[in-house]
Amino acid sequence: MARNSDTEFYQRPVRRLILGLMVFVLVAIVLLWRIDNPRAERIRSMLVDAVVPNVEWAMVPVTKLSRLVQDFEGYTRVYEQNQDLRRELQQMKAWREAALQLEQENARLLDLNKVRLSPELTFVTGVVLTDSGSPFRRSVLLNIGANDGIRDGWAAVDGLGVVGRIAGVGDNTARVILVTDPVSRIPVTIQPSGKQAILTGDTTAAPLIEFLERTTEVRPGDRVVTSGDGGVFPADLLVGQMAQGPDQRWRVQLSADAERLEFLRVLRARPVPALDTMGGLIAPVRPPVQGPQLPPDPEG
Amino acid sequence: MAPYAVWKQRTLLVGLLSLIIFTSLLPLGPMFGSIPGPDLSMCLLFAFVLRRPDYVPLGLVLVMVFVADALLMRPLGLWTLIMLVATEFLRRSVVQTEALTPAEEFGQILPVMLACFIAERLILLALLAEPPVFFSQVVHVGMTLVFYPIIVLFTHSVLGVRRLQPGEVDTLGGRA
Repeated sequence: MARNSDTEFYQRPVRRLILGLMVFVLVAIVLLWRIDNPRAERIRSMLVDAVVPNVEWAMVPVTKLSRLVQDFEGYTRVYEQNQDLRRELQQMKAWREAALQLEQENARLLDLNKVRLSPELTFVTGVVLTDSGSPFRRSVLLNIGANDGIRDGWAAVDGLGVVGRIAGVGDNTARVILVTDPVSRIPVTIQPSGKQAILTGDTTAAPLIEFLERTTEVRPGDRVVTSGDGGVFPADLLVGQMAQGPDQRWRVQLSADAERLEFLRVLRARPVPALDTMGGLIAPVRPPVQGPQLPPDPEG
Repeated sequence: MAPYAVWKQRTLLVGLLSLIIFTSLLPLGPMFGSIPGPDLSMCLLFAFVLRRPDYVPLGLVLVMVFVADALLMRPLGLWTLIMLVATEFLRRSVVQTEALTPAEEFGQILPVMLACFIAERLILLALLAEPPVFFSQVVHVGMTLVFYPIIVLFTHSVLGVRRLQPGEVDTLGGRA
């Protein structure tokens, strides 16, 4: 007992001091995160860069094993799957014929027009290391980073459609904010009506379509592609198909399998401006004055 | 000075918290489908600190929750701050001489957990940052509350984290 009160005598104030110091530092970090977000995110990617590649050896086998288990569960329905696949294959053969003919036609037309495809749209492929892990965020971490030339803002696609964009680059890792993340906003065009809208993530598998005018011209099943507005994304990347949820709101069924990503292609788009400030106000450009000139001031 | 048992439990706690971060980072998609899962590390920290405050030093909370904040893309430092204050509050409210029934303990933990989530939301709103979607956060809080007794059962029976019996001396000689 004596020892207890003895140590308490000097331990308590020291402890309180340490606690106060920690709280102060944490408040400062939260404020830094809010005020100078790019800097805070750089600290975060440094930390991620230091931790995640070191546990990759443990992550890979566990991931593979659990995928194996998932696949094994699929074997129980193997007969029905086989039937479905046969039917689908028949349809695909018909499409393949159509595609071949179109490809030839397209090649002839391109040749006639002397079109050259943009050489800038090359890509770097990366392996997905981790999930965001938080119930309110949707992002993945890739095993490629600044050392591979990855920059903030580039688009990431899987084999079929857009998955997200790079936000946060470490030396050997890069974070992809998926289109399903609640902070993701992507300008899209809906084909064939050509309507412009914004694709807004809300953590569900099918992101929302917002700012869509005159929804009568849009039907479920319409193709959704990026519009390239704002210079963030290259134009005409496939995103998915329009669908209407039970709440009558328009959503997009993603072409990419965002729930189960393994490899991603990061498109080497044009250089994007570096994010080093929080961004100022975007003032409107004043048009030149129209109409007759003002009469000169009579007093001089 | 530091006895073996305390350091063993501390190491175990660090290991479990790392395991929680590790499993949530696995690239298998969200674990409970589109439903937000529980915050198990919060349950674990609270269950530990209510039984043996000396197993949960300040530095452990600081480092582990901050690493989780950074890796799980949460606002940097905010949840660490809240957890630090919450565990400290619980630590001070522990009266080692009194036995605590499960219902009493739940009654003690419930307002603290709610306060944590409300504080997080309010701070994010005050900082003009985007808080999580309201409905999914409600589900998240509910799941966390449901999982708390399970975690308590686990720490009590599997890990053997129990309150001091009358007459036992706190092993680190700190506040009992």
